[in-house]
Amino acid sequence: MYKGIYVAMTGAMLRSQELDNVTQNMANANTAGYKRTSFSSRLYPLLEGVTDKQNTVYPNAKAMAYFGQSSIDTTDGVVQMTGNPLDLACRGDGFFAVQGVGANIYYTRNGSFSRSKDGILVDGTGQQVLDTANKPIRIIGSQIQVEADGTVYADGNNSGKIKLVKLDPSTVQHMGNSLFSGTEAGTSGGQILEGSIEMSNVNPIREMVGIISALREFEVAQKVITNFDNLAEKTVTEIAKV
Amino acid sequence: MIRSLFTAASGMEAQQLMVDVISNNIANVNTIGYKSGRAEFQDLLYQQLRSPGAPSETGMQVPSGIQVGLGVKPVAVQKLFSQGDFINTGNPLDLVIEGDGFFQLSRPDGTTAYTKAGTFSLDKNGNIVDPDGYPLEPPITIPTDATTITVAFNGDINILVAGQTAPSLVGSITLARFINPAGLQSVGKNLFLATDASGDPITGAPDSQGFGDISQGFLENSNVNIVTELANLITAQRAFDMNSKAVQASDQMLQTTAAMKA
Repeated sequence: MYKGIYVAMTGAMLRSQELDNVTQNMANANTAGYKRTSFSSRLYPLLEGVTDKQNTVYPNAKAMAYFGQSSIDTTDGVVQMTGNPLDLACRGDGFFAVQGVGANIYYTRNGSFSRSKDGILVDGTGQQVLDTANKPIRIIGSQIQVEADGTVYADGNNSGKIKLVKLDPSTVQHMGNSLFSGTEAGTSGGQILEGSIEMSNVNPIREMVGIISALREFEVAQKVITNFDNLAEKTVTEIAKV
Repeated sequence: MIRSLFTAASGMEAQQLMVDVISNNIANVNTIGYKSGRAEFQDLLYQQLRSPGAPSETGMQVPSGIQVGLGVKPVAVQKLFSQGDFINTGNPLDLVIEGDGFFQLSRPDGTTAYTKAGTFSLDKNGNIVDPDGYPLEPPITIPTDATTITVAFNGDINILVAGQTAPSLVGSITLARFINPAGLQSVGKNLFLATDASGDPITGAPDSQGFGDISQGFLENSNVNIVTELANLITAQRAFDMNSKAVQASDQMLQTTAAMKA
């Protein structure tokens, strides 16, 4: 009937999705290694059977709709000193590679590592941290030192070198559990800081503004829908009165 | 919309846990042998609304998809086993481990507990016990006629008996250490228990094979850094506030939706 009402509807739905996103960032404000998701939306025309003309002007558009897309902001988070020798923060574009036994390799920026009872370097959920040859790193000794390039020394002996990979930015995806999936794109030039943890890169001011704008734009879209409703009501009751 | 409500709720719960852990650290700032904890979080699973690379409605490829996360979950309270400050007490049975290692205590149920708190005293039979009466493992008994007790850096305990000039050895303290001390279970009373994650205890004499030395007349205070804790407290509280704002925003959205149709 009114195509505008559907445009407003998709807009409202998208704003609610945007709030979901902002809330997710906020909930993870204190999650080590979390990378915020940014959300953007744009208006697309839906052309009736004319797909190749989508980038031209849209006089023939029968309807329009909002589409959203999310992307991961991989900028560095704030580094917090902890003093724990196996807390490793990564500066730059690198990711740590971790792997569960017989599982896929995932990537993480949450460098809160510890040793398993066999002395293997593991992350918070027990997945093994990989070295440059994709093998687990076994650390035996009490004095542990990690160099900026990822080389681990235990009591002065070289125990291996932690792998730091660059990921193709367009393939990076959140997997939950502080993990990311993605396609490796070579070694990273990033540096490892020992005794520190990288916190999330969530900026509270930006997220609060995100909440406000999502909420208000949602209300505007609702207003438009209500207006269309009033219009329809008038059409039915007043015009038909003749 | 309902998603954001629950996402924010998980955020509030996580920040609450962080405040709980920080409060426990601050409460134990003067507890001998206490090791500070840190709440650790991970993001929850993601809902894939649209995959990147999927064809869009207009036939083109979507450059980046839509992933909506569902909140945060606590994964661990990690103990930090750095050395605390030393306090000089002058009490001969106040002991400190300078470096790696735990004192071993035998609990009434026969299991062994581990502690960093070296506040020992003697029971009526002359056994060296902790403030709860748990004896050192292996047990060391001081004869009643001993006048001076000396604990050497390597754990040897010598006594001087009245009327004698040469000290005599009554026993040696054995320490334990773990490959993954963060995997130890805290059971209160300054005690830790070994778990499958910590690995089996490696025992040995102080000042050997990576074990720390023993110093007599000192105690190890908690390793809580009050400034860090307060900074973390502020962060946690503000994050809690902001998550509650997200709950309010979700609520308001539902309200306007409901008000749409009179």
